[in-house]
Amino acid sequence: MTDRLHEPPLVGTGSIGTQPGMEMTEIQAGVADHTITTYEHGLEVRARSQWSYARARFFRHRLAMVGIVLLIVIFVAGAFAGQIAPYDPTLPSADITVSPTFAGHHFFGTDQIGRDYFSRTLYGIRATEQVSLLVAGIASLIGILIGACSGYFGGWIDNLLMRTTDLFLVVPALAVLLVAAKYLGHGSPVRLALLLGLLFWTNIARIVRGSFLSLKEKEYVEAAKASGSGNFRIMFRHILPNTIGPIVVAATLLTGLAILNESTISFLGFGLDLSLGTLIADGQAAGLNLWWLVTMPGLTIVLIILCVNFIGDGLRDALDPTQRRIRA
Amino acid sequence: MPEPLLSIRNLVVEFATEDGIVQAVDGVTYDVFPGEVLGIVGESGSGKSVSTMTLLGLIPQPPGKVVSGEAIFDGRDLLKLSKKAMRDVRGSEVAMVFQDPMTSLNPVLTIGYQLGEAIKVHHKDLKDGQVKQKVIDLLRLVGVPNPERRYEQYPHEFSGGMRQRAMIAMSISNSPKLLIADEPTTALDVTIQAQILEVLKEAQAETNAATILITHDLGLVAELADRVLVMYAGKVVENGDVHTIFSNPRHPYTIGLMESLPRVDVDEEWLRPIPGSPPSLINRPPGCPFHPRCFLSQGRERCRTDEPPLRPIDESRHKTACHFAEELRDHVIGSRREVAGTST
Ligand SMILES: Nc1ncnc2c1ncn2[C@@H]1O[C@H](COP(=O)(O)OP(=O)(O)O)[C@@H](O)[C@H]1O
Ligand code: SF4
Ligand SMILES: [Mg+2]
Repeated sequence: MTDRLHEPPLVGTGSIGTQPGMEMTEIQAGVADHTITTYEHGLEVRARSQWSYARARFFRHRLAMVGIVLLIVIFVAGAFAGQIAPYDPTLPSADITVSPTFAGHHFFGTDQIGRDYFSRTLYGIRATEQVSLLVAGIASLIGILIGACSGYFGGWIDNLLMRTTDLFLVVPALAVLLVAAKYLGHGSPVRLALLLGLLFWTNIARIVRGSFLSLKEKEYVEAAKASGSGNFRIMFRHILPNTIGPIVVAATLLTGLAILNESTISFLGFGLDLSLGTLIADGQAAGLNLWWLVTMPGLTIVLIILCVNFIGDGLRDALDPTQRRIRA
Repeated sequence: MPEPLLSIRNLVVEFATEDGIVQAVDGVTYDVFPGEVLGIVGESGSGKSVSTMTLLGLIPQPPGKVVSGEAIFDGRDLLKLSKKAMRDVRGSEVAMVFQDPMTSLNPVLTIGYQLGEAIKVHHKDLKDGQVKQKVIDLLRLVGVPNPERRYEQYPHEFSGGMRQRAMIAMSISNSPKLLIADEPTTALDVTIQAQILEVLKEAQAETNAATILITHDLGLVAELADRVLVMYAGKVVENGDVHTIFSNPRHPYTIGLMESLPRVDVDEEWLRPIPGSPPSLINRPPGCPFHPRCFLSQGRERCRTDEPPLRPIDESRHKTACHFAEELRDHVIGSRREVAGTST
């Protein structure tokens, strides 16, 4: 609990209006959560929500801020690869085995047949980001549906769904991916994303289930029931918005996991035709003399993963300050 | 005599817990008539909430179980409704106001959204604009200032009293025939309790809904209720018109409740909590559930062996569950002090 000392001062940011004509009076007294003490007798009462505290905490998290800025730069560069890339990523040129240089914009060098590796890396980022964002989306969707039903309905539904989840957890993901990729053919980002999404929803399902288990006991859920709302509405309108925080954290971290897995599969030759993983594989085949062919895409992956994890950390600390680790 | 709006007969509700079966509600029978306010009083744990939550199918099952009984509301047995039919009743014909307004509103949805949903669930044909107008009118009715702006706000921007006003607005939004208010002021500041009481009165007058007011505050009952039901250990031990109950209580437990009230007209010494605590609801012993704490029993055999039935006394609308209720005929509230004082 010592880290509480580093919490922002929740009390005292408001001021009680004493001047006549002051219309609004802010009164705040934050305790562990967003509970507030208030005064009646005609006073207007306003307080900052838990969200604005979370936002403030996130923006104060330096690594997360660095991560988010860098990641935006990288992802935007990937998204606009077609416009930014100085060369066609697949066309050979006369500049063979150039090491990284500013001359001719070969920032990341070229390979043995003269393809520009900066351009290839940009396109690789594009493929990687498409896959990873799709995976995060698909896995969140499946995880939310399964976790919500499991936690909300409980009983045999919960048992069935959680045993299924356990099953997916013990499946050796990489082996399944390689086999599936082999038979389903490679080269399609959407198909690969579907595969990864189908394998990686379990963590989100567990998180959502846990949240639903506790949130369904809340009095506001009972109140919604008492006013005639059906199960579907209660699950997705009333409970789900309260679980967004942990879901966002898990989905962010999952994006990193998806990038790693996509790269691994592509590296092993079962993934995409042009992604960061494929580039590393090609570069490695070219031998150590052309060191930049492995290093440049490799560093890009490392940078992306680091950014994603910093953001995930920052989000977790911002959304759940009670569980934060002590940090200097 | 008018037809009752709600007739509960012999309701038994149990909970399966680790320690055994808790008989939370044990053979409760009562009527609620159209437009009246029925106060239910009793110590905490006496089954007040469970007996009413059961009506809307809101007790968790399991561990809860409705063992027997019926609850005829407007010609239908609420305990036998399908899930769909029950959802149609909830919030439209029977509505609830919960105890703690700080927790009974969803923190991530606006007040306007939550009230609007309560209306839309039952009136799918209404347009969004109409719903919004209705919500704003309701908020104004319950005394929320600046309802147009408040509509857009989240619960954390409302104070406790304002939230309870919003909850009351929500409960009357579909003009229910029956309103259940479960300790509607208990969680609030004393200064605000009186205001909320006024709002409840107005809401009741506006909709003319029959109201079940659950409370352990006899003062609230005296102010609002037409009739009173006293519950103890999952049973109804006395019921009658509010004047009868207050002027001529015929159950030692009711008398105990009254004497434990702080009074302004008498010396502070009159404050007299009921000795002992409510019995365990697991493995109920035979006899009168109140006998270990009863001043009237004086160890009489019958109290320990025979359970007293709820029976009419003096007049048909006044009922009590005490073997020796007749002995209380001339009882004066507070008079036991001398007796107790001389015997110790
Ligand atoms: N979900 C539950 N599980 C187990 N026991 C319960 C549950 N809900 C209520 N009870 C038991 O039912 C009894 C009556 O509770 P309740 O109706 O809430 O009392 P009151 O509202 O009069 O204070 C209590 O003894 C309580 O322990
Ligand atoms: S029946 Fe006996 S124990 Fe029960 S209330 Fe009457 S006198 Fe007391
Ligand atoms: Mg209660």
